[in-house]
Amino acid sequence: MKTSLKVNLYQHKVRKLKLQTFLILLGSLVIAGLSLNYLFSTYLYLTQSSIVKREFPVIAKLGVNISGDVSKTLERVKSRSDQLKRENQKLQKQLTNAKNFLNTEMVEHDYFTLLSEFGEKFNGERYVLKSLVYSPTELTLSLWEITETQPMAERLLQVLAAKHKMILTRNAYYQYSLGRLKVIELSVSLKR
Amino acid sequence: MALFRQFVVAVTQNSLVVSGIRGEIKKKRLFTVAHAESKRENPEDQHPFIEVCSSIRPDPEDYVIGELPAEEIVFRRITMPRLVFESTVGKEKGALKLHIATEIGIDPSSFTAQVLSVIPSGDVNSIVVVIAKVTTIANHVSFLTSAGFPEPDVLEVAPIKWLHTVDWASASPSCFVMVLDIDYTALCLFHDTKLLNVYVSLEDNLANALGALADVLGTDEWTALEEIRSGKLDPSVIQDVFSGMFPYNLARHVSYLVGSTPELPSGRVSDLIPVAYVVSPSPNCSNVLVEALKITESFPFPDVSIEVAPSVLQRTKPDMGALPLVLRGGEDLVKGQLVPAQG
Repeated sequence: MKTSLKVNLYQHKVRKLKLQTFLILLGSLVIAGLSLNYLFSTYLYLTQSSIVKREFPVIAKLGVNISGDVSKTLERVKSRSDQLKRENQKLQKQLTNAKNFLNTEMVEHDYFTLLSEFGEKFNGERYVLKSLVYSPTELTLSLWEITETQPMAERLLQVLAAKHKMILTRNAYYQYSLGRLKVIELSVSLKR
Repeated sequence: MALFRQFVVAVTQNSLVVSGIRGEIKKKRLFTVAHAESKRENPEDQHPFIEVCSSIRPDPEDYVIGELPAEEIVFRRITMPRLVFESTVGKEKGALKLHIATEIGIDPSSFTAQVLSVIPSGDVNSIVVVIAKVTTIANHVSFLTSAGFPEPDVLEVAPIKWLHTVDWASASPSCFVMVLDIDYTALCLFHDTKLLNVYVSLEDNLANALGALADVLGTDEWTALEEIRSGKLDPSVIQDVFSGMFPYNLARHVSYLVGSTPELPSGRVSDLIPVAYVVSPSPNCSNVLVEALKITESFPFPDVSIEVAPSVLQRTKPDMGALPLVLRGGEDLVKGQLVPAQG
């Protein structure tokens, strides 16, 4: 048998909470809210980390710390990117400097190779180097050639300039005679 | 602090005593936290309520149940056309209340009514209602709150509260329930689990029996009650008093109850309602009343078995009526009949 006879002749009471209970409930709600926030943040962080590691391995390799806050992550990526750009510029500059240095060295090397070959291949009688001025773009050479036969310095310089892909420009050419001796004053410029 | 714990406080009164219990509900079991009784000298005296309140120390968040005494309420059976009744269902209670007011001829704003049972019978519905005056309720609530109790969540009525102690799972679906309490006797007629009728007699009560016992024993009512509760008193002495006082009056009331219940199917009453249960605050009183009814053979339907009602109570210390209210509160909170924890 099941019967339920319940009388309540006073149904006006509105149940109230004590301040202590209210505060405990409020605290519980706040803690629950914070816990949920932490839980979802962690979940988001793990999801993002997983996506970033899978889709953008370079970001992971760069050591950018992924957090649940997307804007902060983007900020970190941007900052790291700027830093890398700066390092790139610095390296480019160093590379350019090194390249310039090597170019200069190469020009000098070419000039002196040409002079060395000139010295080796000159089979005339005598020559005296009067001046040698060079810059990265130009080598200006002045010399005296003393010979009783046909002068050959200018001709040899032209051959060597062609070999080293330089343009030879004659600046001065004076020939003096002293008996049988011919004295030729020659000034040429060699440009790459 | 009652957060995450359920406490029920019940306070009850009769002409002898004010009693209160604060109990904790745990998994359909009631654990008594505090229990107090205070002897009542004068019905207007608030001191026993204050004393009980200070002893059991109710919390403002407790589920509080009070009780209106039997003399402050009226049970009525009212018949109304089924269509009229159905038209009031789901609407505001005012329509039904107005009908009740018209039936019994009182001002609708002066009372509160609650339907206990609806008995359909063809085109007519009979309803059993309990009625109390609004001022009585307000005064009682004010009396309790000014004594220190929190505002009650529930205001039960005395004759119904004892039904919460009956173990309905073991009881017959059709039965008489005879409640013998300090200030009244209530008779309920159930058929197929439905309450068909209620009769309350204020003249037949345990207080009168205690007075008679006190005369026999040469003590006062309170001492007589204490002796009954403690089980020290010879049952034959109680039986002598009870046999002379209750059986014939109860028999008369039972006859009246059956006669004024036209919805009872035709046939022998003992076939329809095979058992009559006795409920009282003290198991000793229940046993003695059962014996008195059997010995005097006064029950109007001889084949009806008279028994002590199966009870969910396993009391070591009988109380004066707050325990049934706590059980009712527990039922409200746990949605099922509550069982008091042992010990």
